[in-house]
Amino acid sequence: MRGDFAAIAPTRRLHGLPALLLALAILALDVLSPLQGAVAVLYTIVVLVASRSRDRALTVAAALFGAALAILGYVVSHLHEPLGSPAMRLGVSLVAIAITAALSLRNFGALERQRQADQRYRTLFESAGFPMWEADWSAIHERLQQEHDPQQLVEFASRHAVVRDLNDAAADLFGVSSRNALIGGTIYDHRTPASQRTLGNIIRGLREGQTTIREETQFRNRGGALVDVILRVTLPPDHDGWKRVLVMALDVTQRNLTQVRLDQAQAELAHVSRVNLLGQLSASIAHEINQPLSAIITYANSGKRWLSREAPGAIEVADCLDHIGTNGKRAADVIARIRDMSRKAEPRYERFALAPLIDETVALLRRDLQSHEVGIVISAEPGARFVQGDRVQIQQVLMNLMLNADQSMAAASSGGRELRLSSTCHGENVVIEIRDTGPGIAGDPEALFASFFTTKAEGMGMGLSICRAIVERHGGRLTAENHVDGGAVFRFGLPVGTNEGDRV
Amino acid sequence: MTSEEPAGCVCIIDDDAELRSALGSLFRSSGLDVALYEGTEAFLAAGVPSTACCLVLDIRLGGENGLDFQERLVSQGIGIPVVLMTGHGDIPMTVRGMRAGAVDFLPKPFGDEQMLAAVAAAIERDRTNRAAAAGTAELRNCYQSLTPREREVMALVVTGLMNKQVAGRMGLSEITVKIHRGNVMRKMEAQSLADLVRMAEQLGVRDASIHRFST
Repeated sequence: MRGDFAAIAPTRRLHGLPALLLALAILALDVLSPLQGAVAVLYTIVVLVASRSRDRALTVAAALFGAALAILGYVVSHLHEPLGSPAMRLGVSLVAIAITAALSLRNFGALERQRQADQRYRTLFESAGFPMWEADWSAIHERLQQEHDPQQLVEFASRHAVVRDLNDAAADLFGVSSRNALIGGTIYDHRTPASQRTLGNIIRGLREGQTTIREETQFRNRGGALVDVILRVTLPPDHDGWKRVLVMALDVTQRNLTQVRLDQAQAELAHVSRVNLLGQLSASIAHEINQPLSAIITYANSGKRWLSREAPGAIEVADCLDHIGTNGKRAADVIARIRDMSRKAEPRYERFALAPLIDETVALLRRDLQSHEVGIVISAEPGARFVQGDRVQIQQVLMNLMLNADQSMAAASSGGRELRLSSTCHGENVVIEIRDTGPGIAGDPEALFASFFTTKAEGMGMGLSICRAIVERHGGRLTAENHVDGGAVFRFGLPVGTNEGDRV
Repeated sequence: MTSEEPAGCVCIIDDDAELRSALGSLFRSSGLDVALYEGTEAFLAAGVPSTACCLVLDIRLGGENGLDFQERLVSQGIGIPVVLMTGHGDIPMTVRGMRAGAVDFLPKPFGDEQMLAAVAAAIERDRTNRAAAAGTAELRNCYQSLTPREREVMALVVTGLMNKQVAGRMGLSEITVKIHRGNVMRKMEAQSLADLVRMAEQLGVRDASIHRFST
């Protein structure tokens, strides 16, 4: 209590003393001057002066004191007079003092609430676990009117976006030791090409009337390392010409790093699985290459024989040479197909035609399908011609599913083996369905997608799990179920290929 | 190979159009006729050529196994000599093919000499088979023209019995036997007794239980 008093006392003195002096001056004016006005109304000033202390007790005391002096003044000057206009004036003065006091007190409440709200905001700002800063972009706002070249504007903006305040997390983000290092300055030293681009986007957004903008970007911290952040820029209602712009940032560097590693691991796994698939097809592939090679050798021998005849058959020789050419190309095509599959490359997301991919895949599997007497039915809706994605990975998914279908049908009893491949258009997606007439899936179809799940003696059990991961990377989902008419159905969606050919 | 080589016809069954026509060109360049078939059904529908021929058969066919088809031909009595070829043959496959009577078994890719030699051997085998079959048929016609008596005489003569032994066995005069024997030799177009004996062997009408000196 003592401490409180000691703390409050100077304020009271500071505001109380002038109020007291003013009150006495008014009293003197009231009593000593011949003025016949409602001088006592001036005591309201005393109340106002006292109320500047924001001290309830002092304000109330000032009001009471003022009222007392007003009454005193009346007593001194007009006690012997009959009740009349002076008494009326006193009444008005007292009411005025009371009203002033009441209004002041009510104002205290509002001010107090305002103060508490500010305090809460402050606490929130300080203790938020994520970086946050308040910036003054008024210079940029002014510049908007005259500068129209976006490039120039961004350069100007990055130099004139003043940081008004920032929290500790923000200081950490930029790698500065104390907040004061940035307050009053800019984050120009932390800019990157990405952040400049983002700044341009944000300015454009704010200019178009948006009040909240979300952008992913990158800064360079004091140590020189790049930090990935998701920015959320908010323009409060009272921004007053962009004087107050609130920027919140979420540090996603670690998340992005993990994502990159995950992507790399996934791409490598997919590659291993592809090579494994090719291994399973090696007999077929050898046949596919051996066949044109045999034809080439035979045509070459035959051509030589036509030449060495008594009447050389020029037309026949030309024919042989033609065929040598086409068969050479045929062998090269097979190799090109395999090379794509076995190449270890970053996924490329682009628009491509589905039908040729399906044909190529069927060609690679043709021998296996034929030797198991599996018929193929391919159907495609006109709208499902182009899809968006990585061609090699999608071929891997197709090949995996088709090979599974082939093997499951081959293992089952013969007769009526058929593989149906259809692509249909569903809004923004192309749905590809691969259906077989095998024994279907025993148990929960979801179990198929678990890693290391296999029904094959030499299977690794990774194929379908990798296929699902690939499809998910394309924003789709790979599912399996049993068809009502028997056999298994695998289904997955890919984004329709648009003409822009951009990333998914 | 030159054009003086006796011609023949090679039937090729391979589901790969390019390889099929490549083989066709090779055989034609060697003066052979060719008939190309995509599958076994097309071959069966066309029938076996009437001239000396052979079949070059791929083991891995689209709808059917070549070895199965080869066995089917044998069981149906279609005696065309077969040359088998395959992309990756193994020993069990080879054994099975050779047991079913294949002339040769060639892995792809094959040399032209190898293939042509195999086909020539196969055609030669077919020619021999055909000649043998043709000879037997002619002989059978001649034998059909004999009277029952003459056949009886022939059966005894070819065992080495003398005319009088034959006459004695049949209860005929030696003169009559001589007349029958002369008819037999003429009708069978036999140049000598030895010739007649070979014919009897071929026709399977020689009675092996009778001997000249065991009477």
